[in-house]
Amino acid sequence: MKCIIPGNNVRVFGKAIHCLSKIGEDLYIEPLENGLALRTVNTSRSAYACFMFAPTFFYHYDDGKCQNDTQQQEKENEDDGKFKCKITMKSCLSVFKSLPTIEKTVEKCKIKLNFTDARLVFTLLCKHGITKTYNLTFQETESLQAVFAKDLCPNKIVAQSKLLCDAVGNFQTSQEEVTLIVSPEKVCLKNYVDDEPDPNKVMHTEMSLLPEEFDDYTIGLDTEVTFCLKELRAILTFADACYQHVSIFFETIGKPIVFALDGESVFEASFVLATLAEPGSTQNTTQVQPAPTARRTVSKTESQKKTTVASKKTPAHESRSCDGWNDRHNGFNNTSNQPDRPSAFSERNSPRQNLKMAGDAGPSRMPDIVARIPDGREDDDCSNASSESFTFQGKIGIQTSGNKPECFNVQIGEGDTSTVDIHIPSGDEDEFDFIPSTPPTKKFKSMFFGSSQSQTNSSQNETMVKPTTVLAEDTDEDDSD
Amino acid sequence: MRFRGRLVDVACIQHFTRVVSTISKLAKNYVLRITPDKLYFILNDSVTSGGISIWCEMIQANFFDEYNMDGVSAEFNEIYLDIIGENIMRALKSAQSAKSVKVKLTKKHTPCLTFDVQLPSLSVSSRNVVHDVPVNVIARRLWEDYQEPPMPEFDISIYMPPLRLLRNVIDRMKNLSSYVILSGNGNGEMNLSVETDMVSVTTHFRDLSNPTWNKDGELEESQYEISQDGQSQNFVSARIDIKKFSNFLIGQQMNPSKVICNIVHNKVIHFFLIQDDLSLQYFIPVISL
Repeated sequence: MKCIIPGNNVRVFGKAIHCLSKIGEDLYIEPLENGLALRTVNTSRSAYACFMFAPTFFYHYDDGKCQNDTQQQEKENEDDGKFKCKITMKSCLSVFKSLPTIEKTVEKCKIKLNFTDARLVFTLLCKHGITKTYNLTFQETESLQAVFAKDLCPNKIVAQSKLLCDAVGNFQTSQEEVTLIVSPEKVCLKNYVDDEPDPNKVMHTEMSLLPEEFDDYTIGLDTEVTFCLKELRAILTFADACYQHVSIFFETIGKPIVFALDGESVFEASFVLATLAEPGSTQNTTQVQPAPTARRTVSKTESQKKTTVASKKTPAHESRSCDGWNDRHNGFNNTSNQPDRPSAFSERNSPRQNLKMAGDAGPSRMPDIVARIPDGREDDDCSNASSESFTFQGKIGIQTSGNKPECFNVQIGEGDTSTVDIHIPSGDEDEFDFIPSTPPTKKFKSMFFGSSQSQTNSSQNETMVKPTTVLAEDTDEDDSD
Repeated sequence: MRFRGRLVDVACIQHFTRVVSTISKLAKNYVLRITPDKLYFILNDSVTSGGISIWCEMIQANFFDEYNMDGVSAEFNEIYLDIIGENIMRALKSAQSAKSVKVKLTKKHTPCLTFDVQLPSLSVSSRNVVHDVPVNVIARRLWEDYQEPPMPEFDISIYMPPLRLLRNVIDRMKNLSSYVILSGNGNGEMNLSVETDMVSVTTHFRDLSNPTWNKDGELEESQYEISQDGQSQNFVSARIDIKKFSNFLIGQQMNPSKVICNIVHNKVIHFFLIQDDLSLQYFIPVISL
């Protein structure tokens, strides 16, 4: 793999790295035929970002296919011999640390894989013949892929980045989540106020905008979605610097919201943010007994509260697919048979499949996401023992598929009482039918279809429990049999 | 109890913001007193939490285009609200480019001071931002805690040099010690000094003037006569927390036309900022050795 970025594009590339660095801690690099993909996911896996730089973005672009012969032998297990890797965000950020300087001095940036030394080499060719070379270590990895289908979302808003920046600027920097409320007549942006500290002591801010201000405004479903502001700020910082229009796709509560940027066909960026499964009429609260304290600490370090993770990432795809998954086991293996959703990456079905099978295949077959993403493994754990569920940063997405197709997002809140909010996404509401006494079979739904799924089926059911409030005790064990 | 005001002019909004910002930098929460003619920002810290007092008053007509209020009762036609400065600042931050700002007392989930900000937009209609700042309404019986502090019987009253100049000096001194001794005399001289085991630094200011006050504690305009007493050469000093002084110098954005410093020897320093019909009084207690 080798690519050379011309000087005027290095700035954009650097900004993209900065933007990604505000979201995740690892940078997943994947050279593809149709461009270089940079991706990341945040530690709680409630946000996913992907930049795709088209070959036209570069002076020279070589996705490394020709090298495949040698690599293929070394990686027999890989579906294709293509090189994929991840590097730590920190190391990459050090290359593009000072954007103003880069803008002024760098004439070319070369990214090359040094296969013999196993280094990813960033070379900045600067003015006056100065060359800066960064040899970064990398880890080979499976592709990071969130499955989402933005084109299926009933709601689409296109706005100038400035408008969104202005809107977001009204909220204080410490504000973690905002709620976007849309109707055909107006858009409302509200700060999301958690139960604690006392909502009566917190300032409430609400901004309303009229649809005329947007470049495109299509609302098929009145709804409100709550998502993290931190990632949105990162997106807007990038968008604003590059004068981008931002397209927002979303469905409803608990389903992911997608922000897309289209850089005049030389690059495109998609960001998938989890939305909160709001406690409300569609939700029920249960308690998972073992987790509370530990989980709380973890999620605090995570600065993000109860954003449901997994469900969010893949919802559109999954919630629909679960219809066909009456038999959960079949469900896994049948993934490929499902009608392919037009997702942003729909043509690339394989990674998704791989990930889905991860649980079945076991570590030998699918070591990557499971083993290398810390959370991935934890998903695994939490499916086996719910006592581990706190490692999931208070966020668990569970989707059920049973005779009655029902979907739940199980979300573990951060409150004093550890609550699991079961949310039935309204997207499938017509089919929704909840029979308290017969908990349906469940499938743990992770954004990446990680490992957990197969084992989850049995053990996660327990967390699911019933729609009624179950106080604390061992819901898991009791229900599991 | 009702309150509703409307700021229209950008200059008014910004002026109002500057005042609130100045106060908010001095105190985390404070009391907003609303009367038919004036608005007051009041802080009356207990001795344990630093003993600072602030009294700021402004004439509402200079800021508000519309202003309506009904107090607790006809007899006590006033409202006292306990507010958190940071919240108000945030609300006003989004009002910086506003077309108009409505401020009203509302009952939402809790008593709130609602800032309804109309912002210019890309289309004809305006954007609308509403901030609900939770407030505590202070009961009538507690009002007496928030009365104007009496003018101290100061030993020396002196006009301060430009605050920006002082700020530079204090910023340097802050690195040396946590206390500063401010002293002045009736001869237009003022000293700022810090003392440590290693060093003692004093900055002298000369040719300042001493205001004259009449018997009612009112400032008299004939400022340039030097105080009467023969003791005018003697310095009166007060040792105060340098951080509080520095906060005051850094935070103040009011561009006052006059800044008077009244020193009560070894007791308290009273800063008096006057700008047109806006005044701010700030009391810093002495910390003795």
